[in-house]
Order: sequence, then structure tokens, then C-alpha cells
Amino acid sequence: MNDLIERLAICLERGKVNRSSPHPPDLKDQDGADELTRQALDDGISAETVLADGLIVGMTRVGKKYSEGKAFVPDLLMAAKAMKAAMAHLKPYFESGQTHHRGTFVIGTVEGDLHDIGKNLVAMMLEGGGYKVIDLGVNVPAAKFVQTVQENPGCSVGLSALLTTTMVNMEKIIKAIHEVSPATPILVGGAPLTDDFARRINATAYAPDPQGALDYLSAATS
Amino acid sequence: MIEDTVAVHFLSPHDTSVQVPRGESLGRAAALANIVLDMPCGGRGNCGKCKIRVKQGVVVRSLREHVLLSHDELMDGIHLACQTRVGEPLTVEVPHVSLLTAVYQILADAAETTCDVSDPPVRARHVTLDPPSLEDDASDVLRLERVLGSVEVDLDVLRTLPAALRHHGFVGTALMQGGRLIGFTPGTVKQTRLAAAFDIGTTTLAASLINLEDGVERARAVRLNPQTAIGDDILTRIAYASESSAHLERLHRDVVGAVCTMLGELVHAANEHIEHIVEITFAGNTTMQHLLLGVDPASIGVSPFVPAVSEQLSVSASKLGLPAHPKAQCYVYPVISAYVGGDTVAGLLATNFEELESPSLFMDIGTNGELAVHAKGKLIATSCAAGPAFEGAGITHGLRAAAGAIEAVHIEQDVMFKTIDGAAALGICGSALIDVVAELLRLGILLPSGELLNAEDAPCTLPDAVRQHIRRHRDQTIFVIADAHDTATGQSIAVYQNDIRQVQLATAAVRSAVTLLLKEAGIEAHELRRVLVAGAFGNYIRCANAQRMGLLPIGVKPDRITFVGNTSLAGARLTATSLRARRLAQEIAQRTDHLDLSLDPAFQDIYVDALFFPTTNDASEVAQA
Repeated sequence: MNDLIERLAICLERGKVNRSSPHPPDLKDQDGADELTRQALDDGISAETVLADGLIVGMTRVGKKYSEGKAFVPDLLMAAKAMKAAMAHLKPYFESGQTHHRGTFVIGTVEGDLHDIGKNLVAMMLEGGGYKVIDLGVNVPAAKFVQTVQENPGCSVGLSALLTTTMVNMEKIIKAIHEVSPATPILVGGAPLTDDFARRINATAYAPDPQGALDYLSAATS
Repeated sequence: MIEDTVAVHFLSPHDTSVQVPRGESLGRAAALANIVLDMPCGGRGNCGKCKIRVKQGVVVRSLREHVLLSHDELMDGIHLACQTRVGEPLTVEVPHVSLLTAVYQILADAAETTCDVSDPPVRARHVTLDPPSLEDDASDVLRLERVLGSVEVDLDVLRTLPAALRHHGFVGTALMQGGRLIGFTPGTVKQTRLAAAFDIGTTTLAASLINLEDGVERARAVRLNPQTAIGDDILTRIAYASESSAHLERLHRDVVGAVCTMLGELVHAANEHIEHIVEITFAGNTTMQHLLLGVDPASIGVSPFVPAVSEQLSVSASKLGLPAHPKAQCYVYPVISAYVGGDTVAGLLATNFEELESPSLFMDIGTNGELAVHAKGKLIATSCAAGPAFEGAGITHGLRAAAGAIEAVHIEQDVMFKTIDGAAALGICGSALIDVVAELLRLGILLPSGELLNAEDAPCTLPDAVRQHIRRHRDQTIFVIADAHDTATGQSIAVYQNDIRQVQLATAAVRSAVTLLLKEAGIEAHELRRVLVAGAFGNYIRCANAQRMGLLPIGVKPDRITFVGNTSLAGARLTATSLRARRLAQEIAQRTDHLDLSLDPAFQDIYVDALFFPTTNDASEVAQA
């Protein structure tokens, strides 16, 4: 069993989606996250174990490599695809209540900004980390964030911006959310941001990369 | 009101002191002391370039400094000016490398163009009129109109006209701006008419003075855009301008002030009078043109990214506060979109882009990359945010192209490099960064994924001397270009793993934009008959290396790629002397379709694909093409 779970973790780390996917070249014609997850469940391994000891472990490894510059955007996106393939098998267990999410994370790129790659990476890293992710897309106005927060009590929020000209919109969104829900943790991230800026606009935390967002939430909710 | 101020004493680059409010940043203090620091990130504490040594006085170390400065620098009293608050009187010195003027080599070579003066915006008409008599008592203006046709005369010109006409027996030169009389010089002396053309770049301002009589260039001037003190990229300036009308005013004054200085330099160099400048033209990116005019660029910075004006404009020089002939007009280029500006229109005009064998591609690679394709009778343009990596910003040892910057790197049995002016190495500039990435890919030290291999994982065929350049520093793999004893800084100069990531992002932005633009035009890269690379940057890069690492399209024969220099200035010159050129520019701007990459659903996939460097197989196409 351990071998199977470890192989699954490697599929996540290396972005091996399924048997027929050509990436990465050295794992060609081997089972991917798709097949191995099915097999693990068929072998009677619990969905919880598959998620916690296989998928999340692999995701964390690629996230760490990303933080060190050893992995990059395409690696994370391939890992996300592998995750998605695995989650398709796990979904029935989550829905039947046999297992549960670690929390809900609402994410969006702020008003005026259309960039979504960074936001997508964070979304998939958190999904991989066991969170239910509500992705509001790009160019999201404050009212939409507020409404979603009200509909999902206890959720955390992530705000993304790539432009110097749009990151300033984060401040008013944070203000609007905290007016209706002062305790909601709000993480901010994006290329032009700094820790300093995050503090100035009263964000709960600044996440320099996707792994940073996951680490923060894990620490805050554990 | 008593202001709580503190003195900051600068020992270098010149001995000077300023008073600043307590708590103000050292970066602002430098600006007040007229010391222009290299601050590519705009003082956000991201780039670590604005190093200042604090000699006396105590300041608080910020967290960013621990991240961005080396151990030696921290011990040496080096601080980041933008991150340092002045709490007590300080004595500081500014290392040479931190000065913008030091690291900057201005490159302003415009493509050679002949200025057509057959239909200038301002003409000189020599006239000999019959003096009035009892038999012929027509007014002075009517008398002029007999020779010149219908004439419009401003009141101030009219006030001086009778005396001017009579000064030399109704002989003189009428200065005509279309149908408008803007001056009358008595006598037979030839009236000098000059036009000034400006390229208003985000980083550089370049200007040319042209004689409207014969179209000959009389002088050139170049200058840093003083707005760089606010930040290197356009978005930082838009954000700054949007904060208050005072900020907008400051940016406007900065650029107008620099233009005034350059007008002075031009006429001084040509030994002419400033009042003889009768026409001034400007080409720049959309934001810079807005700031020049003092128009708020805020809407350019946020979705849906709309400029306040896209048409060509003509405004009086006096209204902009520019020294010139009192009636001189300023022409400002039409733009295609918020991020495809007058500089691109000028480039397409100056290179006769549509007359070239098609399909053809025009690329201006800068912080904001502008691209245009001409294929199947259509002209389509787009833009991409390449970021300032190729200008050295965000790169650990990055520098702009300046004396001491490593500009070329070649790897055979060992690593060889060349610096600009042969000076001791200070850092690495864009062209060398392209060389390094291409060479590391070729040698298999760098994988197409962008991962820099450790020394022990690098291919066994690698010469030992080269392998020794692969090292580790602070959890990162680095490739050392110059060892400490070979550099002016006394520290080794290297390309870091994270620098490669910045190059990947910048290259992917350009590459995915080219891919989508060609797709929109319905052509493949190998079909391109001509590729024009504009901008000062292009002149110094090695074509094969730029193709190997993916910045220039693979599959295009190198002899079809031409580096065309500063085509924005070349275009500004054309419109300075020819009204026909202005009509063509307006047509180009109107006819060009704008492709918004963010609207293309395939963008993310293509962008992510472009983050991989070309593989050896892809690259072999370069050789075969």
C-alpha cells in the first residue's frame, strides 16, 4: 500500500496525469494519478489516506520546489491536472460525507485586473491541500466577494492582482469584507505586492507564492 | 507650523545636505538632493538596487534588506534607500553603481531616414509686394493675400505686420502654418525654420533637430526620462499619477521640463536660436503621450484599459510651456490602443512596414513589448508585458546596458565574457542574459523547463572548467559568469535560478504574443519574409541566441531578421517635416486592428507552453531554417 501511495505522490510532484500523457518523458507508459487513485480506492485504501498521504504530500513537494525555484508555473499546472484527475475518483467519497474539507477558500482577481494564472495556481494548490475552493474568476468587484463570504460562513479569502494600478483596489475590498465579517482571514498575493503593502491595506497575510498561502492557512486552522 | 525636520548629509556623488521631514525615506531625501538613484521597482523594496552607505547616524534595518542585501553589504553599512526611514541626522554616501546616470548608457540610434520637406507643416514664402499708393489703397493683409492666397492672421501678428512690411519696402518672408500667417521677417535674409522631433520613451527621451529648408538633421539630444525616479514601468507611473492631481502634475512637469532642456541643448549644439523652432513632434507610448499632455492616464491602468485620446493631436507649444517660436505647434502621434502607442505607429511608418514583402512581423521589445504583423493585406497589432528583466531589473546582478555591464557571454572550454567599454564588470545586461540562457540550454546545464542543474547533475560531457561555474548560493543553483577577482564590485557576478525564472516569464510574454498574433493573421512563423526588431535593445543581441532561447521566432532565417533601432524617433522626424507623413500615420493608426490577448481563451495555454524554453529539437529548426 505504501508503495502505491508513494507512487501517487510522485505523480503529483512530477505532474503525471494518466498513462497516456506524455509528460514527464521519463514516466512515459506508466500509470498516472488517474489510474493509481482508482487502484488505491479499489484496494480498499480510504479516500482520506489517498488525499492526505498521497495527493497532498505530492502537492506539497512540488509547492516547496516552486518556492525554491526548482519547479515553475508549468510544473504546478501539470500537478494541478494530475490532482484533478485524482479528485474525480475521490469526489463521490467527499460528497457522501465520508471525508471532509479542511475549510472553504474564496479566491478572485480584483476589480480592474484580468490576470488569472497566479490566482489559478493558488486555487489549485489549496484544492490540492484539501480546501474547498470557490473561484470567482477575474475582475471581481468588492460586492461579489462580500456576497460570497456571507454565503460561506467561516471561509477564508484570497485576493490576487498583477498590476500596480489594480492592487490598490485590494484595500477597499478588504474593508468591505471586514465590515460584514471582521474575522474573515484575507490573504493577498501577486507580483507587485510586498509584505509592507499587505500590512498597509490591513490584509491578514501576504502570500509570496502558492505554497505560502497553503502554509499560512494550514498553520492558522490547525 | 513648525516642521520636524532632520538633516541628511550626502558625501557622494557630490557633497550636499538636505532637510527632510522626520520619517521620510532616504530615497526621497536623495531625490530632494537631486541625486537620481537607480530604483527600477519604484521604491517598493523589490529590486535591491538603491544601495546607500550610512556613515554616521542610526537607522532601523528593514526586513527587506536582510532578504536583498548580502552579508558583506549588511556588515558594510549598506542600506536600501527606499526602505530606510530618516529618524535622526545622517551622513551617507552613494556608491557609484546605485546612480542611475552611472548605470545608464543611452542608446538613441534612429534608423536612417531621409526627411521629405516637400510639404512641411510650416513654409517660408518670400514675397515682394507692390507698395500701397493712392491708386492701390488695399489693406496690408489684402496685399499679402494677392500673393499668398487667403490668409488668417492672429491679432498679435497683425499688430507687428504694418511695421514689418514697411521696414524693407514690402519685401520679406512670410512664415505660413498652413493658411495661417505666424510671422513676417522683413528683408531678403533667409528665415531659418527648424523642427524638433522627440521620442518620449518610458526610460529614455531622444530628440532630433531638423532644418525644414533641406531636411538635414542639425543636432541630436538624449536624456533619461526624469520620471524614472518614480518607477521604471508605466503602471507604477499610472498608479502614482492616479493618486492625486499633484502627482499627475509632477509627472507632467518632469517630462515637459526635460523636453525644455533638450530643446535648449539642440539649438545650442546647432548654434541656432530657439525661436526658430517652428514645429515639434512627439511619438511615445500611450501613457507617456498622456503624461506629456498632462492628461490623467488612470483609465489606461485598469480594465477595460481605455486611453483618454487616441487621435493625433496638435497643440500650441506655448500651452505646453515649451520654449520655441511663439506660434509653434506640437504634433502628438495617434495611438492604436492603450498599450500600442504612437511609438509603434511611428515605427510602422518609419520602416515602411506595409511596403515590405509580407507576411512580415514588427517587434519592439521593451518592458512593454509591442508587436505588429502584416499578412494577407491586414495589419494587426498587439502588446505584451515583458517586464524589465531584459533591462536588468529583477535580475540579481542585472544592470542596464552601461559601461561595465557584461554584454556578451560565450561558453566553450571555459566561460568567456565581454563588458561594455571593456570596463571592469559591474553586472550583467539583457543581451548577455540571452547569451547565457542560450548557452546553458545548448550545454544541457539548463533544462527546457527552466531548471538549472546542480554541478553533479550536469551532463558528463561538460568541460570541468565550465562545471566549476555551477555553484550554490542561499538555496539556489547559480551559474557564475565572472569571479570576484574579475569584477569591479569585488563580488562574483552570476545568473541565479530565480533570474532564469524572470527570463522565462519575460520571454514567454513575447513568445506567446507572437504565437497568438500569427495565429490571428493565419500564418506560421516560418512563412515570415521579414522580421523587424525595433528598440535600442535589439541592436546588441545575437540573433541565433535569441532564437535558441525563444525570444525571437524560431524557424525564421536569421537573414530575414533586421534590427532597425529607434524607429519611434525616426517616425517622429518624418512627421516633423511632412504633412503627408502625418496623414499616413493617421491611416496606419486607424487601419491597424488591435488584438487583445487577454480576450483569447487560448492565451493561458499558449503562455504556459511558452514558459518552456525551446527543446534541442525545436532549436535545430533554427539551424535548418
